[in-house]
Amino acid sequence: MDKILRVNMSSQSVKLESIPAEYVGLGGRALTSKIVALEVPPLCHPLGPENKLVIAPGLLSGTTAPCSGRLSVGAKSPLTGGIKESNAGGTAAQKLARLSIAAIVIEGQAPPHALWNLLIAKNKAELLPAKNLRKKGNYKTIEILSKEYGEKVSYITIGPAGECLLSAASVAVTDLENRPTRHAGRGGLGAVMGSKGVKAIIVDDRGAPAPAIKNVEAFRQAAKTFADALRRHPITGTGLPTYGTNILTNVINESGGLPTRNFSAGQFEDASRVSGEFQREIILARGGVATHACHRGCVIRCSRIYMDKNKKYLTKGPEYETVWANGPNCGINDLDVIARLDRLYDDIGLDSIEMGAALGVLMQSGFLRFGDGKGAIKLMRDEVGKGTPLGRTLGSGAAVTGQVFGVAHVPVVKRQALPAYDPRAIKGIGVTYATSPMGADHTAGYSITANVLGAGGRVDPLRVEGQVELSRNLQIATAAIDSTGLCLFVAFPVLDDPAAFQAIYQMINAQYGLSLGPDNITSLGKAVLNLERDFNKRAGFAPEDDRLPMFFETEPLPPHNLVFNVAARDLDSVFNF
Amino acid sequence: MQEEQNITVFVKLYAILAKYAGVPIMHQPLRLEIPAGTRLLQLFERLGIPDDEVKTAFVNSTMQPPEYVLREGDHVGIFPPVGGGATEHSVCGII
Ligand code: SF4
Repeated sequence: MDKILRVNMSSQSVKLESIPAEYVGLGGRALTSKIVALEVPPLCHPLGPENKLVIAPGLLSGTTAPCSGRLSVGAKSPLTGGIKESNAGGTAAQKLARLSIAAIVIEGQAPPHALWNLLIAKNKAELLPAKNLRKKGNYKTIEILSKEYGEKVSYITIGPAGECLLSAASVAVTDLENRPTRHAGRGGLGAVMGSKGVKAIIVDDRGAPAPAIKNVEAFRQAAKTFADALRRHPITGTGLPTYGTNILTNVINESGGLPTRNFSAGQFEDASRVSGEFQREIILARGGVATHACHRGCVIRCSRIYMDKNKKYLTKGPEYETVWANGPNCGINDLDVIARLDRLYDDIGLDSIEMGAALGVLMQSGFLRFGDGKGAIKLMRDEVGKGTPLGRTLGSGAAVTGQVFGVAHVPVVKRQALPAYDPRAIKGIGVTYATSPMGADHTAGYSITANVLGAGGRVDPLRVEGQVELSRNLQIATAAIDSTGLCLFVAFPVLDDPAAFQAIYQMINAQYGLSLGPDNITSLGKAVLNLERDFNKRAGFAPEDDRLPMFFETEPLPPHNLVFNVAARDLDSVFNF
Repeated sequence: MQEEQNITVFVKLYAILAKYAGVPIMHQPLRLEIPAGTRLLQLFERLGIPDDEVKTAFVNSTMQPPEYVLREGDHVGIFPPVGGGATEHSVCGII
């Protein structure tokens, strides 16, 4: 991966250049964050010509390393106003890596109302007019593009939400079935793509070779060790393949940390009706697929395919975060309603977490009743999907929705909605929500591992002790993993099994002829976090932005009836490394 | 000699453990009468769940070890390793 594809939308020119020295050896989040930090003025408007959309496969993407097909998308976020890396599965990362492209950098801005497709193939990259795709949903867009380019290429697209420049707009990536189901959802990066005037990126790797591996035998060995560790661990070997990420609904509900009805309780009375166990029954009864990979080479296979009542394809099996945001968080107990919302989010191109949180806030205002699934579907289809003023409000996320509807109880940090774990009952995740440079983000430092799942040790979720250290260590580790192209779920065995961790840097070493050790991985994670925090500081963020909304400190959450009580000075010490 | 008293507890078995309650999924908890002083470990036994299939048990939303002595009205949720991860303190390789 030694090329950067620069796409200037002001002049509609495309240039393939050798990777500049300062970016050599970086991939995924390390690369997107470095390019954004070095090239984007921190005070620019996220939707203006100075912002850049950076799309990068990870260091191991395109190889046979298990679960290495994650794609990083970065920019200054229209939602948070800070630096953003959002990460998706799907098939595009591996193809970009095969084309030797370390990153696509989309800069400048097309004239208003112009819309383009970017076609990338072996020895070719060009912009083509995309007028015929205007305001088309992601599904329709893929259908039209597939007639021309086929089903074997990858598509990276935005839906109407991205074109409308909504702050909850996602960037969609096609899966193995050529469906737009994998999304870089968080932070409104679809709006940045829309602001550039790019509708779709077509990645065609036909004729391109697999990435070169310096030491083939060592790579094969390390990849095998890694795959074995993934298969052996109970979470990645049994739990996720059997039940998908939604295995968590019952676990988190039992722990008392499942945010219910806009974060007003920690347990949902109908959790079992939206659980992973129940979802599996529905999927199997309707002839769906219960264990499925989002890209070739994933051995965990947490993905699923969900059919409607008539046994016709509806959407991917909704993920735990989607189920929570649009289920318990909205008082909705019907998986079919959640699956229909999931389909709408994928089609309109929206972050399913941010939208569920916005719905929860709207319900709190009384505009819509908690539990009104039909109403939620109608709002998404007819308002957000059509870009009406109400739809634009919701599609701008929970913070804007709360502001417009006069709600004080708005669960956001840095204007990004909190995901599916209440920080009053699971305190480590509260530290991550508060301090991550990304805004409230569970993946940035997934303390649920040690707080609830018993992976990587145990830290009592209800006490303050140990949470800062846990979050710090996980944020460092995550920043490093997000740079490899490996799916974050590999963290479960990596935290428990030294051989799995070793295998990661051994694969990188074998591929690139390096001699990295554990310390290099840790330093990489720290360097990425430092870069991101520095960008945010220059964008105007202060320590006071590293806080949860005050209601988490004042309103006790049943059933534990605890508040979030990690002290401000402790939050400020998270990045003391 | 004191007469042995019974207490009532409510039990939910999750994921593959639901089979020990004879159902694919438990929407409602089992209501069980057990002798006072029963420990979680003995409850697993009584339900026919082999030790190595239980990894995490919550009692009233708080994780408890197998030695925990059950009390009247306790709500118990039992998970297999798929949802609960490892019980032993494990070495964290990466950090
Ligand atoms: S574990 Fe799931 S999300 Fe991760 S790469 Fe595999 S299928 Fe995709």
